[in-house]
Amino acid sequence: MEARDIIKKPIITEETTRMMGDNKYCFMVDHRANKIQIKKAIEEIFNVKVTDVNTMRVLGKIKRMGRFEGRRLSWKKAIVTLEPGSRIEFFEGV
Amino acid sequence: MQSNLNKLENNRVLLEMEADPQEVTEAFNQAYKKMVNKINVPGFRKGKVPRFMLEKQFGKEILYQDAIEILVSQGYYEALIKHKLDPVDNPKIDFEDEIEDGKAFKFTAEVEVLPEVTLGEYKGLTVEKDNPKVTDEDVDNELKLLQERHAELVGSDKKIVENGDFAIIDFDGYLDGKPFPGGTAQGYTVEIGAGGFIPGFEEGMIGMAPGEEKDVEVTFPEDYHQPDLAGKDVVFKIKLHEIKVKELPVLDDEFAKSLGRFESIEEYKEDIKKQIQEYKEQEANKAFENALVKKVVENSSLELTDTLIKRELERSIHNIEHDFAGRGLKLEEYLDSTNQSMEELQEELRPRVEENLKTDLVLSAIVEREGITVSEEEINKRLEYILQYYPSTNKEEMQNPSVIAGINASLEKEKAIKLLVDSTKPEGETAEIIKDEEKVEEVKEE
Repeated sequence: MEARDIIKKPIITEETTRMMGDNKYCFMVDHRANKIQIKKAIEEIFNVKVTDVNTMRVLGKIKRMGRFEGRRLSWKKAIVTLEPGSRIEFFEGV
Repeated sequence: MQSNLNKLENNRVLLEMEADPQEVTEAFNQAYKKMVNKINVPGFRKGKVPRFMLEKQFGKEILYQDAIEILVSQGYYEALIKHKLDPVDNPKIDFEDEIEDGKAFKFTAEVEVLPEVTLGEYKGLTVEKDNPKVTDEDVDNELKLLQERHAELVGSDKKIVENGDFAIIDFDGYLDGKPFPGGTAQGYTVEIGAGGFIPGFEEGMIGMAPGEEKDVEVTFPEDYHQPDLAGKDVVFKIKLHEIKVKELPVLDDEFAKSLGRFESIEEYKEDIKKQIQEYKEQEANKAFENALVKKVVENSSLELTDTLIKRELERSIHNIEHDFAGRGLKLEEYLDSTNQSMEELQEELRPRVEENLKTDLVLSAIVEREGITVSEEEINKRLEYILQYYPSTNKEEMQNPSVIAGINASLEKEKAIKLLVDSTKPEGETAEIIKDEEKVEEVKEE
């Protein structure tokens, strides 16, 4: 898998902005990717050093429309810790 | 914040201001706080978006406008106070360099201010003053009016109705042989010759005797307020019950006693004389004051600009509107009824407005020159006084800054006038200026 197929998008919320202060960044990744692949992909895309990757599967919420039940997509979340001194700038050039 | 004052022509000034970097940063922070509550970004609760996120998402420029507004309003008002300026219209704000956080920001404001007054001579002027005298005639006139007011209607044994009598009548009005609404009354009192009825009605009754019945033919005037009757010929069947005449009370001690307070008619006359004297003196004082102020204004030189006059005109028209609204009228309707356009009304008001403006400006120049101040105590006293006349208003309501400022201004002006009066020798018969407290207490409409 290519690096840009693994890393789908950054997750930017109040919580993850706070985590950026600890040099941790949060991404939505391909659910088949493992931690080693994620680490390599991040290092390749953002040109930084990764010290740690934590992943988790986020189950899609069950939603109902009347008597029909459905489920939103499940996905994999990765929280990547960078080496001190590394940084990722989102929205470059906006 | 630094500011420089440059005077331009026509009472205009150019303020050059510069905000230092800390102030700019502070303004940006304030602008951010204001903006952040208005903006929704997915993933953040309202008002919780960090500043760098906001700037990255929407661009730095999003805060510029607010920051500039904050700096300009703050700097402008500081400059006004520092240079003691009284702006007449809204300032024109201008800046060359874009604002940037952490850098000094320069801007200019051009605004028209109140014209400078060059005071002429205003102390020790000589102005004519009337020394009013009360004549016996004045007293007599007053007494006559009083007699009329206390007159009673008494039955009379007159045989026929004459001009000036009061007739008690029943009447039925017929239009084309049929009664019409509002044309009938019983036991009605008509003063003959007072013109209270349609022309011809009262005259038609002259010569009638009590108990007599008579048909009077009259024509409603063309401009009668009921259109279906205007210009119509009608017949009134009138029955005269009684003739009454007005009896004036005799002016004797008895009459004086009936009014209370007085023992004899002489005493009462004295009192009337005193009242008239007081009234005339007040009038004379007022006229003297006005003439004096007018002279002081004439001695001073100042130039009014169109903007200023226009603003005052708008204000006074607004006042008129307010006045009308209080009486349940609309200014537009009034103008329609008098066939006057707004422009004509403005033209009409213009001389008076200019005069008032000049007076105000000159008086405030005197206030400044003489260092006249008004204490809080005096303001409170005046406020209490005004409140007496408006029992429904509560004190807290009146204590807002604009009311206080208004009272302050009018007190200052009164003091200035008093100063003028005190320093002036009135011309005319050695009249003593009555510096009565009452005058100072007078409430002037602001």
